[in-house]
Amino acid sequence: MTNVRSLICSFKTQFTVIFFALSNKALAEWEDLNMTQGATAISREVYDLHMLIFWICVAIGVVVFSVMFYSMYAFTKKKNPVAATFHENTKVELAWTIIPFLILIAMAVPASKTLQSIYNDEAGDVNIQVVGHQWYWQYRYLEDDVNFYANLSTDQDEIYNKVPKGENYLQEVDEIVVIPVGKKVRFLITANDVIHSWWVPAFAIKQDAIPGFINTAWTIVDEPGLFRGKCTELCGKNHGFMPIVVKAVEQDEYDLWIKEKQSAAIALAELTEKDWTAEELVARGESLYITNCVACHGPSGAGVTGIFPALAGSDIVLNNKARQIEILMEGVQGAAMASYAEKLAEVDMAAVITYTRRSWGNAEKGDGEIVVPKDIVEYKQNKI
Amino acid sequence: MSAVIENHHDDHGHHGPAKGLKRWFYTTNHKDIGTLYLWFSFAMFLIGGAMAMIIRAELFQPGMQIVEPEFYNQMITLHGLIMIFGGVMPAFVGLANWLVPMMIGAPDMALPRMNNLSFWILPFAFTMMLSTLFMESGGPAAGWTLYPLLFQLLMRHQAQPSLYFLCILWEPHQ
Ligand code: HEC
Ligand SMILES: [Cu+2]
Repeated sequence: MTNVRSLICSFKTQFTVIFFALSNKALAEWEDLNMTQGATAISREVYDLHMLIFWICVAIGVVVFSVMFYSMYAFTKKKNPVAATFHENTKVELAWTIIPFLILIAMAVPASKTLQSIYNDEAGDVNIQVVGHQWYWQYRYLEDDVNFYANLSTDQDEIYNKVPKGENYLQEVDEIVVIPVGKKVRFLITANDVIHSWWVPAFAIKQDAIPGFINTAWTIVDEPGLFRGKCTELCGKNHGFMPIVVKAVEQDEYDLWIKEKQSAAIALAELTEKDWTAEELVARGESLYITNCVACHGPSGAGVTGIFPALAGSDIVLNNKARQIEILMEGVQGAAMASYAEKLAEVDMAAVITYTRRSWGNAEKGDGEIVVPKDIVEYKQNKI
Repeated sequence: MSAVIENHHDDHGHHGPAKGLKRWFYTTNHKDIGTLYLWFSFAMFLIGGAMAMIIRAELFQPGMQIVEPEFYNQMITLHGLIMIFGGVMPAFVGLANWLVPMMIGAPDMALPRMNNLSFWILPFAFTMMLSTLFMESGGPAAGWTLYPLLFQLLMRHQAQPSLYFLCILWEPHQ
């Protein structure tokens, strides 16, 4: 008996010492360990719900385990050689049916309230279509006719440990989604090939992107800031390499950004008119190839045996310019090779094709013909 | 009647279970079969656990460490399939085989011969499933729930998905 007492006593002092020693440091680190409070009213509601339910679980755990450990301690065979013989106890049974029922109701009421406000799919002030692709996100600003693709911008050398990793390793993209603060932004989320999921923890948004369905999510961000997220539905080889970056800015900065985007699109279209040399196209095509094609066809055009064909030495790339344009414009039905007609402007399409025809010894082995933006325009016209 | 008694005398030396491997192949004893399930489950736990070790070793540091993304996805998929269908479920079935007849006071499971065959389907199913790892385009890589669309897309390049469907379909027979 004394043994147990002194044991409990020493536990108590030890626990108190450890608790106070840890609490300052622990509180600081708690934020990192715990769910984020996020940056919106909804995300804070979700956080509060999470904490409420967490503490309810802790309380239940304390009650249940206290009864269990007390019974194990107080009713050993030694102390209690004759087992009780009673059967059933209506009062206790009623209590352990009704109390959990009430607890569940108490949790369901606030949770349903929040869920209801989350599933409000009325139009926002800004409406953005979000399309998941293998393996990047496409964003279309429905009112402003802005359309772009956000690819991972982390260097392959960082991924393959050849250079040190940057601060936002695997959390950075080449095109950031910009939204205005204080406005309702609605996201219309869908996918182009397989199921993806658009997840931005700071907005408490995690919504599946399913081909053929449009799921909605919305947010109102109070303060300017940069928010990062990722795809959370296994979508193939590069599932871990399609992050999301959203930047919330003041309204005037947002308007400016929209204007810039619109004029950049016009400038890109004008490049089609220019007369391009092979060298210029190859130079422009290299970075395009790295962002768009390396994931499947590999940095040296070697592909992946049995899944993604090699472009180095491919008969089509060597000698069949027309078929190559067709593949890039239309994609290959039922295969991972998607159409790039929408994703790449005419000049970029020409550049990336020319790059593959001129690299990895292809120029020497094949006809070495280049593709200029006019060829792509011609292809589009013939199609109509 | 007397013939039966005669026979009984002749068979005296053959009573009790068969010896050696035969005992385990032919057994209809619920405890033997329960033991088979439990050992099978343990073996699968080690294989699935080894895959988990590969996953954790890859994630030990950021960046590509020891496996490529395709193989990583095969590991998470097979780890899930093996742990659930090869580890947890056979372990439950093994315990149930051992305990349920004793708890309800039955001499053995109903249909003991089928009980034996139900077990022996498992090693074949899992050999087939693991054999996909040695095929050119590798094992299943669309998650253990075989996410639709991704699964179909990968299937175009792989001859074997029908194999793991077969394996999983066999499973419920345990
Ligand atoms: C998601 C993976 C993926 C990406 C990204 C991708 N491809 Fe492909 N590509 C494929 C697959 C798969 C095929 C084979 C299609 C088939 O015929 O079944 C293919 C085929 C091709 C072919 C025909 C090769 C041959 O010999 O049959 C060319 C040319 C090609 N791709 C060029 C490109 C270019 C240029 C890019 C970048 C703009 C690109 N691909 C991006 C998966 C991809
Ligand atoms: Cu994805």
